[in-house]
Amino acid sequence: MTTVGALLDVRDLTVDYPVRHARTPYRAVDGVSLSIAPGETLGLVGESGSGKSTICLSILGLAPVTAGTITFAGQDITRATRAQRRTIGKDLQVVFQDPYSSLNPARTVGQALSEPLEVHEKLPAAQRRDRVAQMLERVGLPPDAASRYPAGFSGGQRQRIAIARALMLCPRLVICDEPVSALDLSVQAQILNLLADLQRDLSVAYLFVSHDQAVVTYMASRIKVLTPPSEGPDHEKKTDHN
Amino acid sequence: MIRRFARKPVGVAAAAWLLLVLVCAVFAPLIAPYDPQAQDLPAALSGPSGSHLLGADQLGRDVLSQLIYGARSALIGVVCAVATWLVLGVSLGITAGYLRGRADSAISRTADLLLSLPGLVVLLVVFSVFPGSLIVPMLVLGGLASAGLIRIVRSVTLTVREDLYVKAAQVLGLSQVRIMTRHVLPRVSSAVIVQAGLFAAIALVIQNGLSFLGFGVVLPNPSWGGVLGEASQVLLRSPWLLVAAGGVVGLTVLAFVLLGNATRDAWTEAWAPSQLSSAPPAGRGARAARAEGTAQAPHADTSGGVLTVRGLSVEFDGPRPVVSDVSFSIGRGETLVVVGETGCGKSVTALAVLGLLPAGARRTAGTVLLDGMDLSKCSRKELAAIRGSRIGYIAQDPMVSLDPNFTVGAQIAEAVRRHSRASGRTLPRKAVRDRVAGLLGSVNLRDPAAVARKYPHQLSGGMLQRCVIALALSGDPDLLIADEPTTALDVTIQAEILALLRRLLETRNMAILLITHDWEVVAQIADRAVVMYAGEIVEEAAAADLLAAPEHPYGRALLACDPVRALPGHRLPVIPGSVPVPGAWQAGCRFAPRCAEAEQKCSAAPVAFTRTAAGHFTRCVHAEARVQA
Amino acid sequence: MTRLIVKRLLWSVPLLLIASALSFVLLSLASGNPAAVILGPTASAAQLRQLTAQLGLNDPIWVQYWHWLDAALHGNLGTSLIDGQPVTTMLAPRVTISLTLVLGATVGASVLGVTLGVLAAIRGGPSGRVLEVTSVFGFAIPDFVLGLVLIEALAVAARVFPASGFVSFFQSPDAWLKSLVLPWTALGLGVMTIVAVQTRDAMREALRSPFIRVLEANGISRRSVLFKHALRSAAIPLVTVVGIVVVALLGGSVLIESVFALPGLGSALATAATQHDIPVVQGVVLYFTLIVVAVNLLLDVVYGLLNPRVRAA
Repeated sequence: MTTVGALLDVRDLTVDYPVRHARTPYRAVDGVSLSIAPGETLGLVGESGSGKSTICLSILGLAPVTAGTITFAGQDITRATRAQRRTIGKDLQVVFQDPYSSLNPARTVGQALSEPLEVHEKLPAAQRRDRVAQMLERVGLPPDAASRYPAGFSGGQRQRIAIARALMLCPRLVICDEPVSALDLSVQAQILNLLADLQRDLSVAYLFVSHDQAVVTYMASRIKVLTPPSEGPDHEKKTDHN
Repeated sequence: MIRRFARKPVGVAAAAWLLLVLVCAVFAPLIAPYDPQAQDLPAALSGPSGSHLLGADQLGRDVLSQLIYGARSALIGVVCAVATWLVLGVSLGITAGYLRGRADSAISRTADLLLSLPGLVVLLVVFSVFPGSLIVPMLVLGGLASAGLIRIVRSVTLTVREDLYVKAAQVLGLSQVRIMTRHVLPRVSSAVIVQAGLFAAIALVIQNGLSFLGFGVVLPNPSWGGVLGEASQVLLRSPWLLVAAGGVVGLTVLAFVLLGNATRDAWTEAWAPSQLSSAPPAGRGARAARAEGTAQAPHADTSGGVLTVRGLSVEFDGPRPVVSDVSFSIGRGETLVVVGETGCGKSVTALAVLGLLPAGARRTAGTVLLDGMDLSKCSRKELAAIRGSRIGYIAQDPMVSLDPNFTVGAQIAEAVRRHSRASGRTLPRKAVRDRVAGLLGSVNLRDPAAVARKYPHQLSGGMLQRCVIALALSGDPDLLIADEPTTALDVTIQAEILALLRRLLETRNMAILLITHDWEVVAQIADRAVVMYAGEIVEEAAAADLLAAPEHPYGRALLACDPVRALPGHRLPVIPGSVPVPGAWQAGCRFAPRCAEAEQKCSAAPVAFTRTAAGHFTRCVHAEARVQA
Repeated sequence: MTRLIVKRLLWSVPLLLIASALSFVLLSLASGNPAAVILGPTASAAQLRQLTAQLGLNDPIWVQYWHWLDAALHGNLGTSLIDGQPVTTMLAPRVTISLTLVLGATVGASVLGVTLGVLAAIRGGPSGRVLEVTSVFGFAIPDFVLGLVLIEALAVAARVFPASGFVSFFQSPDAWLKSLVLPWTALGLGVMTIVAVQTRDAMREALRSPFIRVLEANGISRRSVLFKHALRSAAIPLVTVVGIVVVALLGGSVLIESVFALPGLGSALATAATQHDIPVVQGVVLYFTLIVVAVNLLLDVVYGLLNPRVRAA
């Protein structure tokens, strides 16, 4: 039974990781359920060990699912094949925590940003260049950034590039896994504003994961608090705004 | 990339030499003055002359011609070997490292097997089978040696595949092959290029050795190995022969290696930031600084307070100033927190106090007084003695703060022994063990003896940080410097560690200097706090005052953009722009370009501190104006 | 830890099998009938046929290999085609000589190389550069050339060392040492410079670890930090390097033994290979593989002792 109209619906997700030389596997996620409506931001808070990153990885197909279902835009993607993932990739994207590891240092920013266009829209080079320039402007980076390598940018700027890459195809849902945790306070504020602006312009939904309660409370319209699988059940709460 | 390569003289020279060798090989019949097998007995073993530019061998054959023709087999052999090595090594290595599972097992085991076979031996076996051939043995050599490349490529691939951008590509739906070629291969390339240069050299050397033994290309057919062998045997009668042959081979070998290095440098310079030259840390900085001081005795009179820093300035090579004119003091039983964002110079300040600035950094001005003693005038030995016994240090990431090769207990014991030796006593083993257990107990570890027996990788982050604190306390220091001690830890553990530090502060009557970027930490542990921006202190106040009502626009703006105080649904107030890089600071107030309240006079001249209240100082012209009003 | 050793031992069995099978098959493809080599050019066709059948050369290749393997497991490695001596008798006395040569050169190159590398890492700057340059030269000069040059310079001209030949230790320790100095130098010099560069890199890497700063900041002496902690961390990757060095020097020993006329396994291989003396070649391959297996096992144990993650597991 799925929540009607939900963009993403996760039901009783359980993820076990096998442990070497041990009989019982390590349970990273135990029966978690959540749902996100189109255009909304669901916050996911919890300590380390609560499984929030694993939930993200499972939704993205980067971690194995032991039990439960994940439904995206009406499609069951719990055990999607690579071909299915490819089609979903257009609508489901990710921004990771570490701005230094999330960009290929050997490719220019322009190449990184046009990759989604190459894979999914197959536009000619000139059009790709224009789209890249547009996106760079939107995230507040100078147009010459396209020909430079990630090494020449600060952490905050790289995170902007990562966000630009995630939004190139106007996805319907972006998983934000601790997107500002590695940034200074002043940079964090800029990035949070950017994410909010982009959501307003593109009607994209966010699954916003963080260990920082204050950030999540500010960004999300609904919050789900996770406790580590060994402890009690997790709970959901609404914040005061929309 | 070609342009970057062209700027490396060594690489260009190497490429030029190899090009020359190639030309000789291809156009040998046109270039060589003689038939390499033509004998000219009267000229046997003659040195360079008009008729034989590089001399002649035992049978009067022209050496230059032999070398020119020999270039053919040399290059063919090397190319065969390197091509096989490259194709097998890179493709199998990336496949094994990226796909893992059964493919990885099969490939890795085969590679291990190949690496255990002595290559030369197998080659001799092959030569027994295909006596006159050169190409087959060289292909086999390439195949055997590819095992080494597979190992290297595989290990780089294993690291790269965990990088987040690979995961991002997977989310995008890129095919496995695309990911391997587009995202893994470039990262692997830099290691491969260098190894290719080395392997080309090795292949040539092996080929020559085999020629010498009589395998592959043998006399009278011209080969470099053959000439080398002959030259070495007639060394005393005609040393010139060895110089000529050895020179050619040596230059080619060198050229391969240097070309590999230069190409790798040109390839990676664009996207990998160059590392600072790594020389051993410490030592130099302190020595240079000491040279500035006079020959005064380091023990000056005390000015109160455990630590007093006055006018400290530090610069990096360049010269790039990173810390300018920093002053503060900490009394016993007091915790001073230095708070600032990335790049403000707070960590460098802590290292300067310790006298452990990294290579390329040096203190250019200022004094550091520890209980009145001037650390800047201390010799290296004196500083080393002070560290640990008077000042303790804990760093950010506990998982890498202790030597993984020794147990926690062993490392603390080493410190304990050193400190007791310094004060003249030598403790017996049991006493040391007890003291270690005592220290581990004082940091709230439940089973100190068991923890002491563990290796760092067997403990959690929180427990490890407690162990590092125990290590820092082993000399009973007066001052504890903590550089972002809780940043790598969970929020709940953070609170515990900070509470522990507070308790230790009281029971041991120490002072604590704590560096952080997190204002929560200021709230939890600071008595006083100092805000740093772009290398200088912009505000100093009691923690409560600073958190409640910061005077400096930077502090105010920073507090304003904290989402805790934000109205949900409304934009967060931000500080426009970004922190200026070291050296790009302007003359006046360094925050002025980003400050909402900036005026003309802010950038005109350096701004001095204004005392806005008891114990509250701000570096701002507006505060000045407010106070005067 | 014991698990590691057992795994290694188990793994060496297929290694030995494959190495010997590989060389057996390759050699059997060699042009020329061993029977013809034995009987010489004057043999009649009938004699040739008879001997060929007698030697079992008409059997399919895996049967031939099986026979060889069976005999080998009983300590019989066949007889030389050239002089009819049993292979084991021929090769057994040569093992000590090859081991002395290779292990001696390895130890010398490793000790000297590590010392130089550590010094270069500690002093930094120009000495590192000098080391890099000399290492490329050490690389560029083939060991047999170096050997021949040393012979000419120090044996023929200066008469300090013997030009060739081996004297047993038990006969005269002094002469034994003298007969090995030049071969050791020729074999080990190039490798020493490479070990030095690897050591320097490993030390520099170790010195960059954060714990170095933490330990030193808390009072551990610089000397202890360098030699007890950094060197220990650097030693781990160096163990792998030594393993590669041994395998490389085993190969190099073939040339050096030939140049210095040392009666070891290498020179036996060189001669046997030219003469198509298959049983001897097989025998040497087997001995060499055994040596590599033993050395790798030893190094794995050392690695396990040094690396606490492996030790504790």
